Amino acid sequence: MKNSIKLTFPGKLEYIPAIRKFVSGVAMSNKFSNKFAFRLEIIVDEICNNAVQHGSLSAAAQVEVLVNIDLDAMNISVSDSGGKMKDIKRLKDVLALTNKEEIEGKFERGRGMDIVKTLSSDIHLNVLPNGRTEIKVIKFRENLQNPNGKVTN
Amino acid sequence: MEKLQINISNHRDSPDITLMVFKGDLDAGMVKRIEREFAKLNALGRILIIADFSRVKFISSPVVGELMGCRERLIEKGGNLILIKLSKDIRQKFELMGANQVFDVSTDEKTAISKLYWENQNKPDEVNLSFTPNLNLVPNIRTFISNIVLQKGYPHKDVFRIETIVDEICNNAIEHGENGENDEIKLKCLIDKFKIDLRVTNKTNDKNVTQLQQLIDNEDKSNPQQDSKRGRGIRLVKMLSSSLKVEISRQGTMVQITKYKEKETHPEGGLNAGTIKS
Repeated sequence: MKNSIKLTFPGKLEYIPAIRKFVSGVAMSNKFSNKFAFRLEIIVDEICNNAVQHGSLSAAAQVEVLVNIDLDAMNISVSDSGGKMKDIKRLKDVLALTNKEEIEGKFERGRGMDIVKTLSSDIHLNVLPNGRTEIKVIKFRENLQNPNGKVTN
Repeated sequence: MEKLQINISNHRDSPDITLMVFKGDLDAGMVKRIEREFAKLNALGRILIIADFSRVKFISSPVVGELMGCRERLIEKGGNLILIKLSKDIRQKFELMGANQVFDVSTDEKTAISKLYWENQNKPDEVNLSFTPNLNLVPNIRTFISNIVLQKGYPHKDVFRIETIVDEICNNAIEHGENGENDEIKLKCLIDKFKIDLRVTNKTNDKNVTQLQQLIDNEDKSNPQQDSKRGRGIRLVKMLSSSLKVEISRQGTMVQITKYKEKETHPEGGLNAGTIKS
């Protein structure tokens, strides 16, 4: 049976350890390896930190996490109420760059998303019609080649 | 010395909170003026205050003392004063004076607002979870909720009891409710300084409605003659909760639990003393 989970939490950093442990725990319960689960935890930590620090500007803001578990992959989507345009643009620019030195040179704060890119099979940034900013990540089970030809490790 | 300006306004997103932005030097001559501004706010019932020091380079000891007094008067009325964006020099001065032990200091407005709402208004945090009815997920869900409760400073005894409650009510929802691929179970958690409210809703399995209602009714009547093995979960949840409410209909089942934080007899050394579990 395909599992899916939707979770919303206040835009506060204190929730992130519990959120990332939850998602990695779900991965392990679904027979993904320890290595996979730990890397997924890192991914979730980074994108949730982004969502809270840059995308949850008011105290009432809520962050939404969607987790879909397939046989060979986990799909994670994290959306926030939408931050400042310059932060969204900076994020888009970091995700578009492929050169590590360029990212570090241009974006002092881009290393987190560079880590997410390295550990994911695929990543997308969307600005939703309701104004929310969403980051979607897919991570395939180890040693599977995703449709884009990238082998997951 | 730069002349002092004080800009006072209601916070744009949280109008019940006052934002005081200080600009300039806070020398000893400013004590009376600061006292007057706080007194005006106090008289208007504006007792939740954030003081922004991002544009302050110098603060004298008499002003720090005055701010301590203003804060005390706010606290007497159920309010508070939180300082934000202190420069490195001012933070060092506060440490030398011991003022960092007295004042709540935050890095930004959002954190300060959250603190005021949590501590002074007892506004609950809300966490919502919806998931496919799969027993596999229950251990992760109960650990997740217990980690949140631990983070919020609840004692370990309460944390474990809440974990047990979540485990029981989620298992029940899956075992007695509809559990097709398109069905989902919803768990709403409202947590404040004093209590946690949990509400689990799911679609009821038609065949189980009568059976479930009987279990609840038997439990209400404390009838030990009935099938006691089947009622143990509900009995356990009742024992561990402060209150339990169950509503069953063909449309859906809702279980609502409140658990008040128990007072610790042997405090473990402050808030957040626990470690997040995997």
